[in-house]
Amino acid sequence: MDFFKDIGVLVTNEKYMGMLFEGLGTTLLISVFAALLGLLIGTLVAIVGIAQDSPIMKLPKLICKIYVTIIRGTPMALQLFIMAYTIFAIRGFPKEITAIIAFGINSGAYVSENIRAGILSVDIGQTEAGRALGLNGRTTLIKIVIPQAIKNVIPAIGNELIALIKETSIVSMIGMYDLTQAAKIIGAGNNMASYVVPMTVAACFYLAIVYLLTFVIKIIERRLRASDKR
Amino acid sequence: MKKIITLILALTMLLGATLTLASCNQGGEIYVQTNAYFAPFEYFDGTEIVGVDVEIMEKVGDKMGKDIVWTHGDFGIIIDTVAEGKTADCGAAGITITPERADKVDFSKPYYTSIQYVILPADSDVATKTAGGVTYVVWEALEGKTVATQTDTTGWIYADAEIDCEGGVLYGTENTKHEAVDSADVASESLGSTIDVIIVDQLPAQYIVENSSKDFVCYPLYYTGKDGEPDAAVEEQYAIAVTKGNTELLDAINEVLDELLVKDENGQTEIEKMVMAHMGMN
Repeated sequence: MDFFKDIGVLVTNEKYMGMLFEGLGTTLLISVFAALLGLLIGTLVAIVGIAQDSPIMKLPKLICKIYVTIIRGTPMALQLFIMAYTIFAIRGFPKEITAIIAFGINSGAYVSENIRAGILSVDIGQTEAGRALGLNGRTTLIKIVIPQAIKNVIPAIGNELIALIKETSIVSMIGMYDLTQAAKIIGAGNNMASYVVPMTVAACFYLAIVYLLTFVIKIIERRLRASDKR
Repeated sequence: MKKIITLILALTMLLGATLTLASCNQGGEIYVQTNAYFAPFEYFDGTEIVGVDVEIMEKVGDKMGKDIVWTHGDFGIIIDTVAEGKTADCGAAGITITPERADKVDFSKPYYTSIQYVILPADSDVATKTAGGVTYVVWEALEGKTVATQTDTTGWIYADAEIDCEGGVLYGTENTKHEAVDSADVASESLGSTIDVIIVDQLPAQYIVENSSKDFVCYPLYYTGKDGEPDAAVEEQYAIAVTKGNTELLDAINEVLDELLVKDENGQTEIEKMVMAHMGMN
C-alpha cells in the first residue's frame, strides 16, 4: 500500500527525521519547563486556597480565585495568542519562553485544583492527630498532610502532564517549530506533498512520549504505595 | 521537598536570565513577518524559510547593512503586526495591495502581478471556457461546489465577497459553500473528497499542481464580462508592507525592487527569474 510505503520513505529520510527530532526537542523543552512552572504555581495557589480564612489571606485568596477562574475558563489557544502578540510582543524575544510561561500559567491553574483536592482528601483526623501531638500548623501540613496528599494527586497530575504535552502542539499557531509544525512542513508542497503520512509519524512520537511518561508515573505511584495494604 | 523547591527556583532564575539577555540584542536587525506556506514566494526548506521574498529582503538587508530576522505566523496577523510595529518592521508574504490594508501599512512598489487560480481534481465536472487560447473558469461554474481558501488571503477575500456576502455572484445559490482553511497546501489533501475547488494565487496553484502526487489541474479564475464585454481575470499586485512612517526601510526596499524589476535583453526581470528558479522551471 502507498501509505506504508510513504511512511517507509519518511522514516528512512535523514532530512525529514532530523526535522521531526528538532521539532520534538522544542516540544519537550516547552513541556518540561512548563510542567515545572505549573507545579510551582499550582502548589502555591493550592496552599493559599486551603489556608484558613484571615484578614491577611483575603487578598491572596481572591487573586488565586480569579486566576483559576480566568485560566480555566478561557481556551489555551487564545491565552497563547494573547501572550505572544500582546504581552510578549517584544522583538527578538524567544518564543520558547513565551510558550513556557503561557503553558506554565495554564497548567498551574489545573494543577492547583488537583493538589487542593489531594490535600482535602487527607482525613481531617490526620491534622487533628498532628496538632494533638504538639506540632504546629505548618509542620503538620508539611510533614503529615502533604506527603499523604502527594500520593493521592500523582494520578491526577500525571493526567495533567499528559494533556500538557499534547496541548503544546498548538504552538505551531504562533509560528514555532515544534513536532506538529515539523510534520506540517514535511507535508507541504515542496517536500512530501502529503499531510497524512508525516502527521501519522508525528502522532507516533507523541504516543511514545506519553507512553514513557505513563510508565514513569506508574513506577512512582507503585513506590509511594509500597506500604499500603490494598 | 527543599531540594525540589531549590531546583525549581534555580530553573526559574535561569529562565529569567535568558529572558533579560535575549531582550538586550536590539538594533542592527530588520524583523520581517511572513507566512511560509506560500511557495514559491516563501516556503520551508527544512527549518529554513526560503523563497523569492526572502531573496528580495536579503538584498534590502545588504543595502542597509542589517541582518534580516524572519518570523513565521498566520497570514492573517501579518498586516496588524506590521501596523503595530512592535515585533516586525515589515511583512513580506506575497501580500496583495488592497485599500483596507493600505490604510494600516505603507506598501512598497508592486513587484509581481498575479491572478487568482482555481485548483480542481483532473476529473472535476466544473465547466471550463476557452477564449483567445486561454482556458479559464468563471465564478458561475463554481455553483454548488465547496470552495476552500486560506483565511485572510485575497482568495478568501474574493470568495467571501462572491459567496458569503449579499450581492456576490454566487450569494444564495444552493449548496455553494466557502470553507476557510490553514493553507491551500493543507486543503489539497482533501481536494476531490470534502473540497471541490481551491482558490489561490497563480504561482502557488501551479506549484501545488506540479508537486502533488494526485491528479490536479489549475485554471485562471475569471469574472463573466457584463453586457457582452469579454470575461476578465481577477488581477492583483504583490508588494511588501512596511510600518507606516518607516521611510528609511521603505526607500531601501523600493530601491532594491527598482533594480530587480529592470528587464534584461530577453525581456525578463530578475524577480521573474527568481520565481522560475524557485518553481524549479529554469
